[in-house]
Amino acid sequence: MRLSLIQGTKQHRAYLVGAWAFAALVLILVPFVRLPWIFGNPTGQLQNWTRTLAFAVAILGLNLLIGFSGQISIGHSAFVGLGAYVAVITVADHHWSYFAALPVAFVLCFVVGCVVGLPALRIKGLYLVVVTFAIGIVFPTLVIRYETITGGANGKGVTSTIAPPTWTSLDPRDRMDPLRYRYFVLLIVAVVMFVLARNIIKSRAGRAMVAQRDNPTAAAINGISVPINKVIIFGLSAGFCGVAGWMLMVNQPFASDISFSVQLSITLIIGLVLGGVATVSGAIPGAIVVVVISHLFEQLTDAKKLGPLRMTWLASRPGRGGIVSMVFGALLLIFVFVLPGGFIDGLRKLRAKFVTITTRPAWLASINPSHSVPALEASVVATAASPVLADNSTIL
Amino acid sequence: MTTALDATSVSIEPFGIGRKIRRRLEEIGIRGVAVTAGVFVVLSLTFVAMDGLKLYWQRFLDGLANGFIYAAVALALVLIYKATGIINFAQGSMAMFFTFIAWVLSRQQSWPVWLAILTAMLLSSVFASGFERVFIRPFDPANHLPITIVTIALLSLIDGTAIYVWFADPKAFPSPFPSKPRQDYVDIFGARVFYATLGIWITVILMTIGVTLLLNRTKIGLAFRAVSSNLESSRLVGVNVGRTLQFGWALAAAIGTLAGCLVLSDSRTYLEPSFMAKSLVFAFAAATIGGLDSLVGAVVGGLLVGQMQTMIGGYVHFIGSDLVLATTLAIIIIVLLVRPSGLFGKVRVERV
Amino acid sequence: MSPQRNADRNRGRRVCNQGECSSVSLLEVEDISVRFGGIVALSDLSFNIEQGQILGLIGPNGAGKTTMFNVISRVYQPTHGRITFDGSDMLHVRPDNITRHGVARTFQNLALWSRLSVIENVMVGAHTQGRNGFVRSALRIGVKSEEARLGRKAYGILDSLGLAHLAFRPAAGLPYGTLKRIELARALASDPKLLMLDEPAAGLTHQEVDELGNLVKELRDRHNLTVLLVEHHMSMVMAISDNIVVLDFGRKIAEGNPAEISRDPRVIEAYLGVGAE
Ligand SMILES: Nc1ncnc2c1ncn2[C@@H]1O[C@H](COP(=O)(O)OP(=O)(O)OP(=O)(O)O)[C@@H](O)[C@H]1O
Ligand SMILES: [Mg+2]
Repeated sequence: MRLSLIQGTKQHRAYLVGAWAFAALVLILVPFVRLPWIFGNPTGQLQNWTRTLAFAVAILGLNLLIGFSGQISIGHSAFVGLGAYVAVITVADHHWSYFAALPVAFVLCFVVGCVVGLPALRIKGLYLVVVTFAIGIVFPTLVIRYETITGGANGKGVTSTIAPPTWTSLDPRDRMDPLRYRYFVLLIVAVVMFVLARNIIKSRAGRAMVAQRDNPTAAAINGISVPINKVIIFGLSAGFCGVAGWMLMVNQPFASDISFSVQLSITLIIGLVLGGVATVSGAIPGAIVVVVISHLFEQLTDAKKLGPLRMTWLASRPGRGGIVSMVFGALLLIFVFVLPGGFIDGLRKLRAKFVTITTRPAWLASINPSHSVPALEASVVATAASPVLADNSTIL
Repeated sequence: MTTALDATSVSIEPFGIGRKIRRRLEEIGIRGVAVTAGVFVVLSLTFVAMDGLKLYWQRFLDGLANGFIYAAVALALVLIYKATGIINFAQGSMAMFFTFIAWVLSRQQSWPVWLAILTAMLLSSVFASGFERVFIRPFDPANHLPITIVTIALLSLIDGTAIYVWFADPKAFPSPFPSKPRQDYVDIFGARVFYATLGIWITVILMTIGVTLLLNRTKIGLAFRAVSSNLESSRLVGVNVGRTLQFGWALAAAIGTLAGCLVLSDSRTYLEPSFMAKSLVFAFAAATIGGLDSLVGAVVGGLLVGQMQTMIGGYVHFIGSDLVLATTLAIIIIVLLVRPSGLFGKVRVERV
Repeated sequence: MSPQRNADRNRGRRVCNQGECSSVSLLEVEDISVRFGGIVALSDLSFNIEQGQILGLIGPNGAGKTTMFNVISRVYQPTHGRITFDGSDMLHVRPDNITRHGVARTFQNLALWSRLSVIENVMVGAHTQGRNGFVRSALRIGVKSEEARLGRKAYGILDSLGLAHLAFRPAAGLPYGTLKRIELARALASDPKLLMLDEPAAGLTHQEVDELGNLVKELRDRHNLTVLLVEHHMSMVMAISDNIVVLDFGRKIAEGNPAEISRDPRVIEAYLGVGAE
């Protein structure tokens, strides 16, 4: 049976409310459900979910750049790192509260991102990736160089954390309660970032982004300032990654040079492609996959706690740390070829089998209430959702 | 779709008096070259004045050795960029992997070093052609995003495999050049030049000559130049575009592998899975400064970046060698802002 | 001269100064030259369009018509020459500002966005009439009303071109003629003074070409437009143009009203490639 809904009707609204309520329920229940076969201990599990939130925000930011505006960056690890260091340095050395560091992390990363994206003012195409690659490589060397501020290779940590206030009736000395509190705090931050991104996508600015991605000349002729757009989006995505860095520090307040190497950028790109290029919601499944996989294989590098998978044959290999990269590389190749739209595209195709939603914006009622749109055939729906990775969009 | 045009192309047309002369200059990038050469000479004189001629000369020659290596890696990057318009992020990893193969052949199988290197180069070409055929060719060459992502996947895959097989501890690579202790250098006007350094110069120069001959004197080379200047038209006149791009990948991989082995011929550098990263960044800088689609630019850019690295490390103390990478980044950004297509790159015009 | 054409002639805006009246051109193209490497795509081309006119720009393939469009819309930079539009120097306007000056165009090889819906394509055409940037969009300040305003406008234009039923489906997969119409809709959405159409009738049947010709005239009257038309369908160009400029190998070889052009030996030669005795 296929459900056919028209935008703006009561049924459609009920469907939306139901879907969102379900999502909210899942997100609220996450800190309370145990998954021992994936995660060893409950604290580790919760910290990994919180980490997932941070990764989701970073992937979302990167997707604004790669997916929606068509520029590639493999240097966004640097912005995650910058946000993280803003948090640890201000909190540890200047006794700021974490919340004061949040806007600073966003704004600083935005500004640095705009400066670094400046060449986009003059160049077309993929030249900018060279710059981003260099940033990704340079950032850890800067951390080492300014050791006195950053702690260098030994890393820098903070002892104070965000503690649950009394009105929450959570126990600050409990093992789980503060982690739960931080999960919910970061959940709110993540939701805000997702809402902001979604709002941008679904507006004039978002249309401009997609327009300049798929056909820069036509976009310019229609009044979109392509270079300025690109620079701002670069800054914006850097800002999102900065917030993600801050989130990582709220979760586990320790930063060192190796946590923000190009490897992190590649991990983010993998999450992005797995979740779905040019989707907002794809950042969530993408983040889940990369965090869970890294976690599973991280345990392998630690011979003592082999984790639930117990691959003893691996424990003796000194090179077992390479396995994660191999798995990620293979996954990325498989997805680009088999499911270029990522999980979200897969889900959408699946949903299209059961539910069709007919677009009818609210303003239409005032000029043509009788507008009857013929239901779109399945093939049309499929082309509409054609993944950015799969075909050349300028060819109609 | 973009079309390559001569640098006379419309968008950089200067206005005003002497337009024609200036246009001719723009065509061969003389202005950029002159400015660069001028800056170089002025800085050199300053450095000579600071610490004397002898030290400058020594640093100059050291920088030349690094420069040749960057030139080689940049050449590999530019070959792929010219042909396909993408940047192969896996270039450094491929070079690293096949340098390991050369190490396995020479150390574990006791082959002569040069035979091992040549075999590794050959194997890397075979691998690159296979990879191009299976994973790159299915995509529309004009759609850069998926192809770039495929190269990132390859990077991750190769790095992971290398770590898994050879772990992260450093290994000594047998030097392909004479390296008897204390008898391993010649004296050139008072500067000490190691045989290894000399070997790098000669090898890269020979390689560049070889590549030039290959591109200019062979049929496949001609096809390659045709495809990189205009893919659509080449296809129309019957060039087998897929095969030609495959050739580009194979050639680039071989050059990269050779460069990887040369990086290690310096006895202070050890073989480990991330040894190419630094050279790769400098090679990127070289390619950007020279112009991503210019082979000459790659070589000149490589030499410039080599000089930059030693001179900044040696003379500009407040920057020092720790910040050389950061300075390189700043220079890339400035070059892209001032001269978006580098010193020798062609300006491309969108065709609508 | 027919009374109809006379009426059209008078459409030219008149500026009167101390009793002396002269007709003012909306677009003045002076001595424009464009080179691509060895190819001279345009050489010393000059012509004027008066307010309210439909000017046909014709010539064999490769004559430089599209190049002229690209120069006016600032995609290509000419080697020399001047372009004055509505009193301002166009060559100092950035491409993304031409719609703000009142110039809109369509593309010979479609330049639509296949992943956007038809109405979104048209709404991009009205981009300059919105003012929501990143900040306002992110915070949804005034977004709803602006989206409604742009949406209603785009829908209205689509409706007037008979495309309303396609509004909410993706542009991908529609027939060529329809896509050309969507481009026309997008150009109209920017409320242009000058509308430049590059082969709008390509791929249409004879009857459709006639309809399109009437539509262009109608749009000109309704929206108070000036039109620069490139088209290979001579019947349409002859039927609706007030004036025609003929290009061959980047040079202007003739200019005049349709009747004059159709008799001009040079034009016949350029098109047929033989001496026209
Ligand atoms: N970007 C470009 N690069 C190189 N040559 C170009 C470019 N744009 C146009 N040309 C050349 O300029 C000349 C004029 O082309 P143009 O597209 O203006 O012709 P046209 O009159 O529009 O022809 P058609 O009727 O086929 O559309 C042609 O020789 C064309 O090859
Ligand atoms: Mg044309």
